[in-house]
Amino acid sequence: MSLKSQRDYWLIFRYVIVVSAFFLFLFLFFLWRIDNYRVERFRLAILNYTIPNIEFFTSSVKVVGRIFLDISSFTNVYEQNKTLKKELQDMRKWREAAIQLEQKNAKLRALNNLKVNSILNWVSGEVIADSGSPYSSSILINIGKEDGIIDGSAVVDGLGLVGRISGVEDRISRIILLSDVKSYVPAIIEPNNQEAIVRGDNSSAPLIDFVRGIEKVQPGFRIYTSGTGGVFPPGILIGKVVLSADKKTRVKLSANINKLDYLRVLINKKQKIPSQVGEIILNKVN
Amino acid sequence: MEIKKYKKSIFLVLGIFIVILPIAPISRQPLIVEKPDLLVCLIFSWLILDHKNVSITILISLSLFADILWFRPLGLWPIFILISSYLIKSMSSKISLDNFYLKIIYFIAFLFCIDACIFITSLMGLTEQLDFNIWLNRFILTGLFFPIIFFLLENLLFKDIKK
Repeated sequence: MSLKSQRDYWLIFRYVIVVSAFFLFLFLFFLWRIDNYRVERFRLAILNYTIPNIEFFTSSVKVVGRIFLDISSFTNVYEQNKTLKKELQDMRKWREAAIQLEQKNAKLRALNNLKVNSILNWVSGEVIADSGSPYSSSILINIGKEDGIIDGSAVVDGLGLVGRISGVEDRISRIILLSDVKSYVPAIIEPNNQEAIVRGDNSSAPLIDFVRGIEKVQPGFRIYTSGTGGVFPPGILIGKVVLSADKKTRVKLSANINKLDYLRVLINKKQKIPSQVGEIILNKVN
Repeated sequence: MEIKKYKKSIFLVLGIFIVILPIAPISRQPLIVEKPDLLVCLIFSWLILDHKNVSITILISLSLFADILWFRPLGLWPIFILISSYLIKSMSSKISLDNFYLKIIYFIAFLFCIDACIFITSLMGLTEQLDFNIWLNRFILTGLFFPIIFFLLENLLFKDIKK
């Protein structure tokens, strides 16, 4: 066989490989689109083995990154100190009020012989990875099926709701943050008890949607989970109502979503996560 | 030690490093200022600098690895990287890219085409919704970072080609 024909064969072979690769990726993309649940589970299964093995690297990058962030925060340390002193003064008053209320609450509970719901349990975990693309606002934590995590469980930091579990593997779980476009949380706005939906839009302050009588909602009102649908337990603090520059009603999240280290996953043993589209509506109708 | 022999391995390690780097949970602040897509900068730098010896298998593998780790739609980026690689390869034999600014314009044109396709797929509902501001932010930042990556690669890894 001459050199030229050999080269031609090689070129044809290469084109066949490239065209096959193109169709393979196209198939993969459509498979991801059509059977998203299964493909996402497959992705999480890969991450379950990958992420714990590269944690030594991500954690060292995290340490270096945090050092830079801390150095930049030194520039306004004087201002921070002044604000903190003022906040501390206010907190002392609130601490006294809280202690008195706690005592009063305990007495009233004893009087009513109230049994507190013990279904809710929690497991704490550390954030090990961030999503590296603008497609999703999600993170990975180092607890999974082995620790009793259930898909759909609510996740909180010390201050408020952060998001929900969306995908569990043996050693890791994925959390969809409240800021993600896929996040819709049924909420209640206090003190008027108005029902609403807190919807993520990739900004740090999610939108408040589907509120009856939006004109009654004032900045500063507190928003809690309503528990409608049975995914989120009721009464978890989400944040405060704020008006954004684009005149939209949004939530200033109580959770410090910009600096998440350790999170608490609330496990509701009686929680029933809808497995099919429209299951909640069907259950309500029945 | 001849660096030329190990160019592909160095590139692969560098690519893996760039894919892992953004997932380090430093801060969630980039919701306002996005991170640039350094992997695209790296891939196109290699394609433009050494289109004859570039390994498309490595480029595709890195894109797929990034898709998995970054929660991107699986398979979408490798398709665009595959098409662009072949376009650049065939175009580079016809157009000579000696000017540095011309190379940047070349990259930005390709990046715009890829990003526009990605945004259109998102608008069509084939992928998750992409915020326009974040998309634009990422496009501009990636465009700004490309000359840096290109300059570093040209002077550290592709010195022989430069000569």
